[in-house]
Amino acid sequence: MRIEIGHKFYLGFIIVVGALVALNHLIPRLGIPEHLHQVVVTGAALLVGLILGRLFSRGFTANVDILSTCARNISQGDLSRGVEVRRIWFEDETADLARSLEDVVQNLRELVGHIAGASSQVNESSRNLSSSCQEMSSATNEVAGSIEQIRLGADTQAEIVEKAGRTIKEMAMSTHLVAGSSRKVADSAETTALCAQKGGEMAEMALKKMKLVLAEVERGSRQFITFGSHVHQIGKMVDLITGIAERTNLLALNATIEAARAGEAGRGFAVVAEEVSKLADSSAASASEITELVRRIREENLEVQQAMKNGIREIGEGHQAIDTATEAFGRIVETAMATRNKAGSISELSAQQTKGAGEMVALIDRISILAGENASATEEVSSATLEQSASMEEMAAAAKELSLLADRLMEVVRQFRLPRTQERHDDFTL
Amino acid sequence: MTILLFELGRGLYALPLVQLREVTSPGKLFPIPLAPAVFPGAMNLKGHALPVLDLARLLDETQAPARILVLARELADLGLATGATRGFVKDAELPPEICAPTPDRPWRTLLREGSEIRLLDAKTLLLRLERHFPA
Repeated sequence: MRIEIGHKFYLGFIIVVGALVALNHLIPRLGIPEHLHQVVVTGAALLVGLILGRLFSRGFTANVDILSTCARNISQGDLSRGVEVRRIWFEDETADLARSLEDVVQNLRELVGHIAGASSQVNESSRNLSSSCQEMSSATNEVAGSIEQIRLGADTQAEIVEKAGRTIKEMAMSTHLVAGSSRKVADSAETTALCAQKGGEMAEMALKKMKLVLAEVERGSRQFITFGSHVHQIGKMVDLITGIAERTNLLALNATIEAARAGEAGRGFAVVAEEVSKLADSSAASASEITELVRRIREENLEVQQAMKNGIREIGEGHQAIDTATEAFGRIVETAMATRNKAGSISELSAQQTKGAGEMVALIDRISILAGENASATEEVSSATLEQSASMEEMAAAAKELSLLADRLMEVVRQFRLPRTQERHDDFTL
Repeated sequence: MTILLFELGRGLYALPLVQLREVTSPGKLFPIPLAPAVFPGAMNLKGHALPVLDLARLLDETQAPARILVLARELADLGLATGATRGFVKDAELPPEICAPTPDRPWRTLLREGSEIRLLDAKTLLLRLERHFPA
């Protein structure tokens, strides 16, 4: 049963007054001396008042103490304990206050739990954000490095393209020169073909004359062989003469011996024998000279024959050489004609090549422009990446600051104590 | 005295004409059984066998035979194989008798136009042969 505190005072006052009235009627009937009536009645009324006061104030005081303790706990952040007031016979405003305080504690618990969870999540998220920022920052740095390399590559590419353009222009010039040279080569090849044709005709003429010479030489060779046989016969005859001279000489010698042996009688004979001997000596000397001449003629004949053989062989080789030369001139004519045709083709191809090189130069110029644009775009990307990197660093700093704020919030939230069940329920450690 | 000059080895030798019968070319030689080495053989001289003496070998010279000098019949029936003949020297002056040939040195030395001529003596040669090859 609920009785407000004010009503309890009213009720106590009425009960004390009613007790006074009732005691005033009751005491005279109890045989208590009259002069004691007032004392007893006062005493009894005081007693009733004290008992009622005790009854009413004990629960109130206790509840106020509990509420006071609870309020102090809340003020100290201790939300782990509930607000429980004593059960009294007659509830009053303290019970309402206790329930309200209990609601406050409960709401604070939920609030602190939510704040703690949220700050934890914020902390975790800010840490994740910080690490993500760092990763992104490093990735951005890598991207910046790569972009720088790309920029350098683009610059190099632009230079290379420029060089390629120059080279292709030079190549186009060279091709133009090649075309001119090819035309000259074609003219020269035609001239060569004409010269080779004339050379071939000359070689044929030389061959015919060489054949005539060869025939003459063969005829001379045969005459020489005949001459050699004649010389051989002369040699034989000289040998015969030499033999006769020797025998004559021997005969004269023996005649001289006979004359000497005959003494004075043989003196005239000795003179004849001596003259014969001189004649024989003269014949022998002449025969010897003829023999020497024949020997020389034979040697020279042999040399001449050898020379003629060599000449015939060389003429044969010359014949072959002229054949080869004629054939070579024919080939030269063919080759020169082929060269002329090829040079003409080269000239045409060179003209096409020159045209293609011009187109290539235009393309290279366009590529060069694009390469320049690429280089400038890459520089812009590089600067944007640097800005992004700076932003990432700022974001990382902000995330770190947020994390610090979350930590501080956690510190603040840790000052509150919650029941263990709720701590476990919220997975929140204080 | 007329002498016949002939070559023998490195020297120029001579023989008096009167000691010779004839000069002929060397013919085919037929070996003589059991004859000494200075007799290389016998040749056919007009149908008669003529022993031939290797004069170069006898006088310690070396000479391929070019002529056969046939000695006079009254001296010996012998041919001397020599080198080529070099003509005659008429009225050759003989050295003094003190330079007479001996069997060990069967010649006399003459000087003619700066050349040394060894004038052999057929008789001394035959003596040398008899000394070396007694019968």
